[in-house]
Amino acid sequence: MAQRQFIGGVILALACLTPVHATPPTTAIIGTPPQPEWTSLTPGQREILAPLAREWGNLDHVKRKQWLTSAARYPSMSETDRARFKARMQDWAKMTPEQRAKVRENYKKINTLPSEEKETLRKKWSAYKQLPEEERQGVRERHKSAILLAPPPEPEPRIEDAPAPYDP
Amino acid sequence: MNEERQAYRIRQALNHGLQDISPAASRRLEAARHLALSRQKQPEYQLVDDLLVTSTGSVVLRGDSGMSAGRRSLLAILALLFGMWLAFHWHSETYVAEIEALDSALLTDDLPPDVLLDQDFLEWLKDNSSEE
Repeated sequence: MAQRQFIGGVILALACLTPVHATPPTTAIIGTPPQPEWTSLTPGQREILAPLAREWGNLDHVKRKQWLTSAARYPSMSETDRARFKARMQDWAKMTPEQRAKVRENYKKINTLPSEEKETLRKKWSAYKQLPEEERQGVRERHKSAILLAPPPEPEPRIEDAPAPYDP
Repeated sequence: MNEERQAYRIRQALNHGLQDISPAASRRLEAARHLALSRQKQPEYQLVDDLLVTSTGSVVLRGDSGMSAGRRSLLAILALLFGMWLAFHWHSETYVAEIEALDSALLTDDLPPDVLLDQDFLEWLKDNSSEE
């Protein structure tokens, strides 16, 4: 009887360890086998995951497995995606679990938008990042983001091009 | 029918003979009876009903295993733990696959993660109203 209660208690305790959104669920942590150390990775994996070389030792097994899965996906990415992936992975790994959870949440929300709105959003971002650094904050403070899609203002006509004043 | 009659006669003879047993023999018989009763096999406490793990990993019921209760309990607990680990491993595979697909998608998206993290800026970008 005592043993049954013990087993029941173990199951209940594990079930009560509710997964936190920002961190992997306990069941996933328990179910993930140990992942290799940096020195045990293949040369190909080390090349792809090079931006994470310093952090690798501090990553838990779930994250290591996740990055190794991404490394396996990497060769099938386009050139643009590969460049973005490598450029962003280090900052991504340095974010806190809560920050990553927030980014994922916002990304999912954006993906629920109608495709036209998503396209508009991306065009605005593209226009915004082409603004000179010193102008960006001012645009944000003084204008609605719609201005990013407005056609550039017509250049003012030069004096010599202006029509001559009427002189009868 | 003959067997019953024979048994009846034996019982009668034994009952009749009881009167001729000496007190010393009677005491020895009583002691022997107590000894026999004390050595009678006690029913074993069973945690689970003969749970066994087959070579394929499934758990089956078995009638008379011939194992001690302790070993059967240990085997049952091991089978339970193994089953739990399999379930957790499957959950881990599913979780990693889902989160990796999501992270790969957002790490290669036009919008970088730091923009997706800046809630105010994101709301400003999403606002489609025009200038007043």
